[in-house]
Amino acid sequence: MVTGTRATRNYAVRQAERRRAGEAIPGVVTMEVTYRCNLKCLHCYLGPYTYGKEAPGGELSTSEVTGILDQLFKAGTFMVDFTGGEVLCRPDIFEIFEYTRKIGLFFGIKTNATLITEPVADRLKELGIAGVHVSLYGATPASHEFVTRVAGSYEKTIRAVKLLRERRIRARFNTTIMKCNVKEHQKIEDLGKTLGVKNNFDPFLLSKVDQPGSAADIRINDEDLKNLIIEREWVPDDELVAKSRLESHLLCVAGKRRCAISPLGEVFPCTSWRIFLGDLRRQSFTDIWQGEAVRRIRSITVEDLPTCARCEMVKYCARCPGMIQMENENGGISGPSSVNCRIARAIKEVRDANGKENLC
Amino acid sequence: MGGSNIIKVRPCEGAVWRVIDDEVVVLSPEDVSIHALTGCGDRVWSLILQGTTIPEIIQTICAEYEVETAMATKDITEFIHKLTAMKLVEPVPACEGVLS
Repeated sequence: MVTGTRATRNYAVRQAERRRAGEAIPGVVTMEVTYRCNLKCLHCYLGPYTYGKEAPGGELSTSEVTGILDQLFKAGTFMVDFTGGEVLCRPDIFEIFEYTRKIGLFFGIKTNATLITEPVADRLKELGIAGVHVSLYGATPASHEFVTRVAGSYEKTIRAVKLLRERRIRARFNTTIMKCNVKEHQKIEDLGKTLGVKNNFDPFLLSKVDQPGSAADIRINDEDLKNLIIEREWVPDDELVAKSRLESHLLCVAGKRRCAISPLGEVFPCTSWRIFLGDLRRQSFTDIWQGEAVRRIRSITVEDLPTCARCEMVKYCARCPGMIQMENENGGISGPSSVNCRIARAIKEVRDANGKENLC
Repeated sequence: MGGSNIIKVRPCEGAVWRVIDDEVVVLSPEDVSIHALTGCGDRVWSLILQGTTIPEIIQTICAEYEVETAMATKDITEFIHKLTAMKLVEPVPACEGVLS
């Protein structure tokens, strides 16, 4: 055998051995490197923090970020998703990307792309970026900028995507579905096809941090939700539903294989689930990752979620503890999420209606 | 790969790589998994990046590793098939003379 892809040495072997030994490895980490943003998106869950301002308390410095990246690499992380705010608002961001690459970590970014110019796209290509997730909220300047509230942002975003694609950088549109753009999803998908990018449509709209219920006014209504489920063919196959395990619907990987780090160095299970696990300015990543708060999250089982486990819609659900926290739900972290319940119910109702049609 | 008429492959979009502990590790864009290239896989990978054709890769490996042509052809063809199946590389369209 001259060549192979099976791990026989070093890095991959160590990763596999650690997993086999039952170690929770934070393979993919989302790093919010700044709260600053050049757009003012009406739905942004970080709304109170962003809109051009630095984080109160001070963002992590360049050396603090690179120090954390070293710790992540040692902990077994192989991929870092940089997000914000707008990552490219940070003047030292390329220093951070270069360091990430240098120590052997893969990285991608979540961005509004408005700051991606030709030199920026060239640099991202040189640094071997894995992918760029671009926020897009409409297929026209009017609909996109209704959300971003910054004139000219649509044109900049689309131009940036063209620059990325010309360089064969993998890109994807991320679209949060709201009342204002729900009728445009097909046009957004068509635009993506024209530009050579895939789409991700997200109906799980988060409320703003510390403002439970704040997304209620911009979430789509039940009728639009059901139409969206039909048009995007989100009803899962019955066979897959039957085979799926409760764990896959009720327990997420946050705090087990993933986590998030804020611009201040706070560690959370996920950007959506912002419960404080530790402070990287005071503790090492390993101490936090092996600490009591994280262990409590990992110890949650289906048995700890009796209401959800017994629910008839559970197999259509993707329960998100972050949603529960953001909405400050009455049942607490072991109870259901009203947002997830609503979407699961809609999927099941569409599925049941399809079943009736097929019987006729 | 579809057949023996494929003479050149290139990394798929998003199939980026790093050298970690002297080992080439490639990220699969499909499922965000990582794959370490073993044996002389790292050398084959670097030749792929240089735009080397598959027959030239075989020649180079034979010369550098003192392997018989038949064995190198079999192994490298299988290896490239495997990389293709994992969506880490793709055939270069015949009309494209330059790899990006």
